[in-house]
Amino acid sequence: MEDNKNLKFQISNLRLLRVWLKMSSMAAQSQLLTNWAGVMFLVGKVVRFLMFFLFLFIVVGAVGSLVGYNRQQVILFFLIFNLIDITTQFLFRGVYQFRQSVVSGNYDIYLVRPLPSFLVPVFGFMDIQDFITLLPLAFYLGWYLNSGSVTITTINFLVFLLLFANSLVLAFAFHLFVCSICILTTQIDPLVWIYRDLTNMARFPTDIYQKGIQLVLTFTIPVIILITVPAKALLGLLSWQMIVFAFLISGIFLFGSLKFWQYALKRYSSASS
Amino acid sequence: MSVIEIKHLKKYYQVHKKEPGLLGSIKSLFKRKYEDVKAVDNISFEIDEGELVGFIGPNGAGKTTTLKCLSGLLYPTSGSISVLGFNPWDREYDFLKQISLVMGQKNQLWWDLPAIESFILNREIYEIPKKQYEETLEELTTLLEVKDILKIQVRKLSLGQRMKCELIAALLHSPKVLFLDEPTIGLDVVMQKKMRDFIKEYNRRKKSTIILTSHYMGDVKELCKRVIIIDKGKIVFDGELEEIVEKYADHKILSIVFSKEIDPRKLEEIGEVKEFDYPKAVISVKREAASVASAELLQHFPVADLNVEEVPIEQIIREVFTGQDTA
Amino acid sequence: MRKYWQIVKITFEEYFEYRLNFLLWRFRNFVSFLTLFFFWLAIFGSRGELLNYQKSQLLTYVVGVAFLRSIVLASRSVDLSGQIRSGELTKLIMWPLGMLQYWFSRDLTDKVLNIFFTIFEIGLILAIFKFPLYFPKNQVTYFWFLLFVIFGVFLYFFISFTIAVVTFWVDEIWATRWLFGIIFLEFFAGAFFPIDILPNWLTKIIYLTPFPYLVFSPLKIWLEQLSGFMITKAFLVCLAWLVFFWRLSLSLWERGAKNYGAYGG
Repeated sequence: MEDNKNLKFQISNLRLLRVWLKMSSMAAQSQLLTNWAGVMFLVGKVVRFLMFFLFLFIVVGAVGSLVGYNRQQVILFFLIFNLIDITTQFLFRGVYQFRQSVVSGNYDIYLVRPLPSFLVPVFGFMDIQDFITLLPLAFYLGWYLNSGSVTITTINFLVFLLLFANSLVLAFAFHLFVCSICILTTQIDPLVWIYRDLTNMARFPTDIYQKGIQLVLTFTIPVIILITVPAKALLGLLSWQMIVFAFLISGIFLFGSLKFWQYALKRYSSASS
Repeated sequence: MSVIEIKHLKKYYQVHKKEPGLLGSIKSLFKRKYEDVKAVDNISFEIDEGELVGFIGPNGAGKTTTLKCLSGLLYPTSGSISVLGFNPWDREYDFLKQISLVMGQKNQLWWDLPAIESFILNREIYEIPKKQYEETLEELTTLLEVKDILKIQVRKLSLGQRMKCELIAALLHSPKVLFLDEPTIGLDVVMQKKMRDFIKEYNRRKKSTIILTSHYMGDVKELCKRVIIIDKGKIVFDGELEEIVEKYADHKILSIVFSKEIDPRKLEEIGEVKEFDYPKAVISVKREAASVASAELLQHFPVADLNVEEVPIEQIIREVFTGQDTA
Repeated sequence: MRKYWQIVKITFEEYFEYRLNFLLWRFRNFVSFLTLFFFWLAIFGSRGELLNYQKSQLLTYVVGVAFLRSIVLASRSVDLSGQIRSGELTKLIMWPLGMLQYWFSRDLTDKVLNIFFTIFEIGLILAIFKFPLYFPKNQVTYFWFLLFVIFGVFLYFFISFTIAVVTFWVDEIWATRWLFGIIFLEFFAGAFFPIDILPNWLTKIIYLTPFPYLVFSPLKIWLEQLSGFMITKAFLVCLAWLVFFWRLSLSLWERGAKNYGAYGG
């Protein structure tokens, strides 16, 4: 009896994975067909990354340290920021398309399928471009960690991985929340842009901000937990209390977000008569 | 045991009424006027396996809302629903794998890719065993004559071809219950017939239970033995189609445009004159007499244009609802 | 509870339908200003000078960027693309107004509105942090600064207009606008950091583009870090680009309007 249940669970998760993979491959195929805009975005992202990198390199190099971190560490913060930012954008791009789906009533089609109701809204639109920028970044990060510019212990790296996963869960909770808002008000842009802007503040080690701002960045849109905490873990600068706290915050946000999503679904009135 | 059971289903929406203009906006901040829109107001019915039921009514009657409640999309305000033994709102995967919802103008096929890709995606979603998938695909594509367009990008297909592919995508997992919402809307006459033929054949072969909503009488006449008429959220009629057609749609409407003045009283001999406003006239004649009456008109009157039409369904419903025979 | 949520929701929807976007934009500007401000504050720490800038100068630079963003880098020509695509443009073309004047006056209104808000926001930060802004000692500086700002306004207007007019021929304008209008602009105009902290070979290239003259040059003048010779050189390059984009946007506009077939139908 128990075996049966476990098997069912495994099979159902395998199915979801296969569905997600199939959807991603279809999305990739679709996007390779519309090229010009893609190239521009790619170029822009690379330019932005390089410019910031250069900026940090020069400025922190001239000073020697920023709120107690040396240049290599500041660069690491920047790299981790990019890693988490690009990964979350890659996974959760579906949110940007969701509004159209709701307003046109097309979302009905997805709701009727034997899939989690949030699968398409949140994960439904993987952007191949993000993946293209993610790979070189991951490689560079790996090389950077290996090069000895910063000292990383195995324990720290493992904790980092856990916290990275935690960040993804947190980001998921937030994006699900945005989808709920979208169902209720069909407004999505303002919230997403605020999220992006606040996240961008974590390009630099967030210790540079006043305590008040740091509080906002922890408890409203928990950018610090999202980005700075994993980075600090990698550098071995995190207390275990902070680690527990990070998981706690994610847990709370996830729970709240799921509940809110259920509520939003009940209020879903679905376009057209 | 019936496949679909609805008991006292109600679905109300709360809409607020706002007066136009800035003053209205400010006022609405303080005193909200809420109105209950009773999309579905206490309906009950049962449907057995293999039935092909037509759900008809004017726009806004509550047909689509009922379908959406049946498929688990909308949360009922009150009442109970059971489809295949499940409560649709729970959205259990075992339930969802056995139903399908097709809505006239909504697409599930990916626009930029060939239809076959979307089919494969559905195969994964519904976990259709390979052999069954291939057999079903073969059967459906043959029936709908689309074998050679499966590898063409969906956006390059004509509307008719696209609709056929949408239908296939919705039927690949051989659903036991099929909800069709306005399946022939926006299609030309030829496509409508093809669609109807297909649905009839599918129901015959698979013995699946089909609920079809439409505001075209033609859909219903061709396909459904049993018809449920819904108006303003309430069931007005639930029974065999023959009864309605016999009782209420026993006449046809002739619209005429005359090229020369005529004596309206002469028209009375042909049928009941509903309207006369030279050069136009509208006559009602018994169904069987329609072609004879048309011939008479063309022979003995200076007719510039002649149209033979069915009594619009809104009228039939009004008649059924008010219990009047306004023929 | 639901009532209050409804009120919040409706308030958002109705009242701030348009204003929401505006407030959002101000918020985003503010956040970006804050981020940079704190960054530089932390970088300097207790030092007085870095990379050839005094602390007060650099912080003034950041403040100046925030200020100039709202004046120079604000444009409604984004709407133009939308109007071309929706076919609304036909209506406007029939007005007895020159198109450029029409757009420019809209931009101007936008900028005036923005100035008010920016002054308020910056004032807030300055009041909290109480640090001295750098003010030019020379009277002539003010004149040159103003001149460059005005030129910057026009230059940005024509660049922006050119990009928008391209919608006549190209469908996907969003990517182009993003690349040139946001990415290139932010970095190469000096809106994130002063350009001259970059290596020499890079700055030489950037000075050849039109971007630095929008934000960087006016601010360098304000900080009195440019010699008379450099000012003249900057002025000439800026003028050249101005004329270039002016003529370009005009000719593209004429060509496009002629062929315009009222898109939306």
